[in-house]
Amino acid sequence: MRRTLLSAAAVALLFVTACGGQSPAQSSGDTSPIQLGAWMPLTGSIAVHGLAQRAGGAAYFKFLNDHGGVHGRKVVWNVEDNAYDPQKTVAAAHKLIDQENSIAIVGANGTANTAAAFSYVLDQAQVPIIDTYGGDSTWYSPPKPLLFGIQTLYEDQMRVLAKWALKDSYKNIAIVHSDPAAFANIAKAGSDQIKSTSPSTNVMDVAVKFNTTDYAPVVLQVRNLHPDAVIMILSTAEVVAYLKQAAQQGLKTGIYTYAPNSSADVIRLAGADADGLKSEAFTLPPDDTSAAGVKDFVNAMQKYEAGTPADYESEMTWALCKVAVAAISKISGKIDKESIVKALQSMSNYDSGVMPPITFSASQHLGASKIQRVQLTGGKWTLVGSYVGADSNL
Amino acid sequence: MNELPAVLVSGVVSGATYALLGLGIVIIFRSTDVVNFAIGDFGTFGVYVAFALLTRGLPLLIAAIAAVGVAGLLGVATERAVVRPLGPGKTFAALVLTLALSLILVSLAGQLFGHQPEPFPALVPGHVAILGLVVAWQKIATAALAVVAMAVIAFFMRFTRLGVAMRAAAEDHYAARVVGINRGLVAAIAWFIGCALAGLAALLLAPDATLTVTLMVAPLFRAFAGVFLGGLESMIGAAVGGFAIGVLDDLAGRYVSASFRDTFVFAIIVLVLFLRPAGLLAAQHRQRV
Repeated sequence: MRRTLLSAAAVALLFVTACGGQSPAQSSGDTSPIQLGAWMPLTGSIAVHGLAQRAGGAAYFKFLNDHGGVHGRKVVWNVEDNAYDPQKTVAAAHKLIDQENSIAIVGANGTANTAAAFSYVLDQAQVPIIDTYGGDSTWYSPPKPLLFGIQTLYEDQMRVLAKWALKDSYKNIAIVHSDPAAFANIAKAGSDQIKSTSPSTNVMDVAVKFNTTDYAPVVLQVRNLHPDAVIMILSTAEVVAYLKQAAQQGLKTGIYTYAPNSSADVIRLAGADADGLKSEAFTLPPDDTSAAGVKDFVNAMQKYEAGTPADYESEMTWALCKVAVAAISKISGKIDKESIVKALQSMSNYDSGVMPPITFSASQHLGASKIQRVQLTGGKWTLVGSYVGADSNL
Repeated sequence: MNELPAVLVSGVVSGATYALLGLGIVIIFRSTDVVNFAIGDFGTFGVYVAFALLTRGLPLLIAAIAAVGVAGLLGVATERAVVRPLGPGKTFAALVLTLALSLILVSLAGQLFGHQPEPFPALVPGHVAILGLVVAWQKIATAALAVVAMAVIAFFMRFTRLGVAMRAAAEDHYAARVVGINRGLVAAIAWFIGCALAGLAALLLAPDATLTVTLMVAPLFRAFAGVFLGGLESMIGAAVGGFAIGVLDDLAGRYVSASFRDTFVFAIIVLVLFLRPAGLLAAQHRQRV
C-alpha cells in the first residue's frame, strides 16, 4: 500500500512538474523575453505627449515583469524616438524589427507617423501593429489583417463633442484645427455632425498652421467670427497657447477639445485660463483610485515612473499595453506574430479595469468606440456622465 | 478690416523677438563672417539655466541676468573652441558647425532639463489694451528693448573705437591685424553681444510660448527671414526686417489664411530679394569687372 502510494505520488509529481501550474506556452520551454516595440515623440515639440505615454507603458511592463511576466516570460518593450517625423518613424520601425526582433508594435504614437510605417511593418515585415495611440477610420474599414486598435476614433470623439456643444445650446460654433489632413478630417466630421443634427446652427472652420506659437492673430480671427462656442482640434501646446491668448483678449465662449488634450500639462501650463474646458478621456480619471484598475496604474506609476505624473496619457498607454498582453496571455503554444493576431481576434469583452470592455473579431479590428466626457473645474478633471459613443444620445 | 490696427500691433510685438534675434545674427556675421544657426538654442539654454535657478529659489531678476549671461558666454566659448580654430574664410564650414551645435544643444537641454514644457514667469507682468488688442506688457517691453538695442548697437558700431574695430575686422581680417586690432577680442565681444541678445529674446518669449527645448526654432526661422529681408550686413535692416516679418506674418494669418501665413510671408521675401538681392536696407555693392 505504502509502495503504491509512493508510486502514485511520484507519478503525480512528474505530471505536475511537466504541466501543472504552467501555461501551454511556458511548457514549450522558451523563457527568453518577449520583444515588443513602439515609436514615440520623445524629443521635439510633441514630446510632451510621447514622454507621458512612454512612462505609462514602461510602468505597465515593469509592473507585469515584477509579477512574473506573461507565460513566465519577461516582456521587453523597446521604445524608439521618432520626434514626430514620418521618416524617423520608418527608421525606428526598421530598428525595432530588424535589430531588436520585436514581434509586435504595441502602444506606438501618432496617426500619420504610424501610417508612414505601414508599408514596411504590415506589408513587408508582416509584424502586427497593436493599439496605436491615434488612428483613422480608414485603418479599420475594411480591416487590415495585422492592424488592431482600441482607441475610439478621433472622428467619433469629434462627433461627441459636436453633440455636446449642441446639447449646451450653442448656435455659432467655430472649429479651430491644425491644418494637416489628419486634423482637418476630424474637424470635418464635427462640422458634418453639427449640420446634420442642427441645420440652423452656424459652423465656422478656422485652420491654423501646425505648431503655431503666436495665437494672437488666430484669436483675433475667431473673435471676428463671433462664435458662442469653440471646439479645438489642436496639440496640447497649441490649446494652451489659444487658451492663454483668448483669456488675454477677453474672448469668452464655450470651449471644447478632444481626448489627447485631457492632461495634467494643460492644467500646469494654462492654469486658470483653462478652467471650464470641456474635453474627453479614453479612460477613467487617474485621480480617482476607487476602481482597482486605476489604483494599480497609479501605484505602478508612483513606484516605477515617479518622475512622471499619473496622467490620462500615461494611463491610456498603460491600457494599450495591458490589452496587448491580455491577448498574448491567451496564446497556447508558440508566441509569434501569427498567434498574437489569432489571440486578438478571439478577444471578447476584455475588461482592462481602466476603460470600456474591448472586443475584436476577424472583421472588427477596432476594439472600442466609446469615450468619457470630462470637464476642467478648479484645476481638476471631473467626470461628465458615463461612457458615450458617437451614436449615443447625450 | 476694422481689426487692422490690432493685427498691426500684434505683428509689431511678435516681430520684436525676430528683431532681437536678427540683430544678434547680423552682429556676429558682420564681425566674424559666420552665420550662427545655433544662436536661438544658446538663448533657450540660457533660459533653462534661469528656470533651474528659479526653481532653487533665486529671484527672477538674478535668473534673467544669468540667462542672458549664459547665452553670451556660450557664444564666446563656441567662437573660441569651435569657430576660431577653423581659421578665417571658412564660412561654410562654420555654418555647418553651428547647425550641428544647434542639434547638440537641443538634445543636451532635453537631457539636462527634460522635454516637458515648463511655465516661465513674465519679467514684466500685466496687460494693456492698444487699438483693440490686449497686449502683455512683457511684449511691449520686448519691442522697446529691440528698438533700444538696435539704437545702442548702431551707436556702438559707428561711434566707439571697439565698434569701428569690429567693423574693420569684418571687412578685412589681415588689414585689421596690421593696424593693431585684436581680432580675437573683437570676435569674442561680437559673439557675446549677439548671443546675449538671443538670450534676451528667449527670456522675453518664454512666458508666452512656455519653455521647451524648441522654444526658438520657429522664431529663428522668421528672424533669418527678417535678416535677409533687411540685409545680412545691415543691423538696422535686420531689426526692421524682423518687425516687418512679424507684421506680414500676422496680416497673412488674419487676412489671407492662417495655414498659409509662412507661404505668404516667404513669397514676399522672394519677391523683394528678386528686386533687391542684398536686402531692402543693405548697401548695394557694385563692382566693375
